[in-house]
Amino acid sequence: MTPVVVIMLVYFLLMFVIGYWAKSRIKSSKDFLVAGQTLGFFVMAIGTFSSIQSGFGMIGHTANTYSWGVQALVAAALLVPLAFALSWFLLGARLYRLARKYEVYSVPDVIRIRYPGRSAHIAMSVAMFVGSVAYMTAQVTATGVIVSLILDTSVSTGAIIGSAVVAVYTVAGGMLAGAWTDFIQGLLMVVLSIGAFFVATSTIGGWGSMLTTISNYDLDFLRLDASQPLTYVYTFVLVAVFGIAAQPQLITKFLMLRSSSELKWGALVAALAYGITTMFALGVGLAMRALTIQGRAPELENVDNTATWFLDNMVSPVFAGFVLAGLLAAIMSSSNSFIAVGASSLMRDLTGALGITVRNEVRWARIASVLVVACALVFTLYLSQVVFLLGALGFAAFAAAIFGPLALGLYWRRATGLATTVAITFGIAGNLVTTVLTSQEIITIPSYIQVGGFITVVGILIFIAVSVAFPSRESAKRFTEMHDMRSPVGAAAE
Amino acid sequence: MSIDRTDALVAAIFVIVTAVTVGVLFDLWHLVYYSIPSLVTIFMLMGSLNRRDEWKTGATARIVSFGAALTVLFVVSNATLHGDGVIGGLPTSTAVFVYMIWPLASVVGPLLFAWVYHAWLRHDVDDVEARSVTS
Repeated sequence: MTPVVVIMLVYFLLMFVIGYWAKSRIKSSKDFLVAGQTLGFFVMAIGTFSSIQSGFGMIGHTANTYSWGVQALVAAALLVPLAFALSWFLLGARLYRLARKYEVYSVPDVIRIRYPGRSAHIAMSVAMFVGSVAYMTAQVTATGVIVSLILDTSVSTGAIIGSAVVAVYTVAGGMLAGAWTDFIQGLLMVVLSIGAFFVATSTIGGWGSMLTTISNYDLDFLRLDASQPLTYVYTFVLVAVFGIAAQPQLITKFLMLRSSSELKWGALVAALAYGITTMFALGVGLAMRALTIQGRAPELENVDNTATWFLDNMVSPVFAGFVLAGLLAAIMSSSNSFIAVGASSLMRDLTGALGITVRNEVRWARIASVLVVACALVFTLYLSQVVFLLGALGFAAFAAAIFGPLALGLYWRRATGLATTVAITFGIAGNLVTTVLTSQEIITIPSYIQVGGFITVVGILIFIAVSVAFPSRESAKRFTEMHDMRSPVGAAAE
Repeated sequence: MSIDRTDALVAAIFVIVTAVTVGVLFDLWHLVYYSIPSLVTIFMLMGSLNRRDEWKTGATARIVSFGAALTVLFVVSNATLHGDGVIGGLPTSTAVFVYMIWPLASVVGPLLFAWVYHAWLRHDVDDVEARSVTS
């Protein structure tokens, strides 16, 4: 048995132990869905960053840095730590209040309390389920790639093994297990990123020598306008920074805190941890470019192999094992959050919106969790033709669907349920339709348009415009009640 | 319905996001670029409102100062975009992002939240905290 396999098995065992420990403490849906509201700031913040820092953040950003240059990280990573500050500013105190005042375990729960009527609640519940399965499908595929590399199996077998592991500890221990495994996985990602950065840059003689090697060959590779149009790069920044505040795996973490004092330092911990893990893509991506310039690495035809080529060829097997375990951690920490979000939307939110009472919520939450994983596995293994469609329903779709209704809706009394329904529908449909039309070559999107970012900003505009054009007394009244405010004179919508 | 601070902020967001939309559609990158520090500042200001739509003067001043510093760095990066200068092995415009904006985003922004929360926003959750302790 190779050291890499041993490291992975120890890692899996640790996840199972946490799942078993959490299972013995799960007594209610509150325990299963929001970890019994017992988390301190450090566990919550590390868990939040690790659920945001997915496989794409580690492997995809490394590939783009190798391919595009530093502008890839400017687009997708360097300003992202600011997103944690913004999320704590916009959501922290207000969601904490809601979680203490009402039985709020999910994003659709917040929508149910904020807006009257069923349409917004149903729309958000459906969006959560579809989006969670879509996110899970992407994570299952990425898990399959990493596990297949370690165990030397097919990607399909790797996907089944990886999904089974994450499903076992999430189904057993819900978000209590999810939060603590996210915490362990986040710490692992931080340590491996620091190690990988110094190992990668030292293969070229250090940070300065690496940059000199690249700039002597092509200084433009290090410029902000290296390869992608600047409009594309900065639209990517917008959706990355503001979209994070609209990701359900982050939002629900605020509902898990044990006391208000835990809010103060969370943003700093999450931002620092995310910033440190960006060093992985920065170090490995640029080192691989320098190695290619020196003729020590081939020009990769598939840039997605940047990180794995480096690990296969430039570091010891033991170090590669730790890094691969860290990459697996990045993927799994996003997966378990989406299993819980998807299960909640199916078992609690959608049924609640349709007036169906669910008894024994924990049992049904576990069954729904299995269903979410099964859907993702079936899509990955047997319905590859729909996987690209599901890919359109990830990060940007959540950003377009949730940012206005939730981040603005918590502050703005004029926000309405109708605008929420329209924004959610637009966020999901807009991303889907654009993906279909471009893939079928019915329309061609100019290279300077970052589609996800464009749909997100239009979604915000639509939300504001519909709220103003069609005011709602009931939505304004809900806002007043939610924040324990007296109705101001003339507060009714006119 | 009377116009409050949140209404004014939402109106500003609408104007800036409209400019972003125009920038994205017509490849006018400056409109997208300068919207980033503007929206960051506005959303921080919105997040520092308590539930009675009130600001604390010291918190507002710090947020505006942070936004101004971020904007200055964006201007410097833009002004040096096509220059030949190199700082720390990177072209100046890139170096501003890697060596200045990245640490500002990772450390100063979250520290600003910690200060605003401690000095102001925590009072907004005192009543629900007391209620949950006594219940």
